[in-house]
Amino acid sequence: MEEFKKWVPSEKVRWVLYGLGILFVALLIFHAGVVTGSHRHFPGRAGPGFGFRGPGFNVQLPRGFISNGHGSVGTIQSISTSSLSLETRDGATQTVLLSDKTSIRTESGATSSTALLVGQQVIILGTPNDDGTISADLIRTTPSPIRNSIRQ
Amino acid sequence: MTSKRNMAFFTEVEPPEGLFKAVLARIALARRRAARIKLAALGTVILVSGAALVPAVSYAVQEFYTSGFYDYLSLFFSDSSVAFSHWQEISLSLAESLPSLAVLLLVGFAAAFLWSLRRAVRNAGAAFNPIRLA
Repeated sequence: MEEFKKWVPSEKVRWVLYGLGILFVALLIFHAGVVTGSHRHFPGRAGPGFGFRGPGFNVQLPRGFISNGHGSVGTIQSISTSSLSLETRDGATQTVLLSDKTSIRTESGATSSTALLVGQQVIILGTPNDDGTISADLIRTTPSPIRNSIRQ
Repeated sequence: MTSKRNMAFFTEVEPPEGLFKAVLARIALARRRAARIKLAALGTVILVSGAALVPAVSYAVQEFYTSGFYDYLSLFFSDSSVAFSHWQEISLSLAESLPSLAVLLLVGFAAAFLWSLRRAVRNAGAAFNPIRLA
């Protein structure tokens, strides 16, 4: 207890507080930038907000992340030769465009689009398009219970 | 004229015995009371921010998972050659998937908790020390 009483008012804690303060301000600026940028360049794509609902009020705070910018993570819902449909973790549906340049990889290495299965969890990296789709450069499968149950 | 009258008052009238000590005691009492009010306010901040830290951590963990931040980061460990060859897209994805609101809440509550704890510990001495007269 005595150690704690000495530690709390110490210089170390003061510097930790300064660090937290600087981090807080930096995050505030970053969050404001993300919210402003996502509204300007990805209208309606910033994902659902973090909301407070009650009688007569509904406040939605932007979460501060874009789930379908230069990448996306989710579960494959359907696959065609040129695209695949992905259900992201926030429940949205994302269309991913495939091309000859798209690199597809599993845990064991490079593979082709035939290795992709419905229900598989994937990480997409690519370029966002104006229509909300992503042109995939890399599709990387990740281990998930959903995929394993479908394989069985 | 007024100061002369005051001087006469102070030289002629003898203050009651123990007045000096009573004044000091009253000042010390007022200071202790102010310190206790401050401590109560800081205690409330400690309780609220401490209680809010638990759901804030839980919310941050959930948001990091939902945004896919962990997954983009995990590429550096699971498939580092690919991660480094696509470093620009991964960097952008990491920046885009950072759940800044969740981290903001977490850092804010942690800072409020630590700041109020520090102030409370520094203030506790003044709030509970017995009043001593010189």
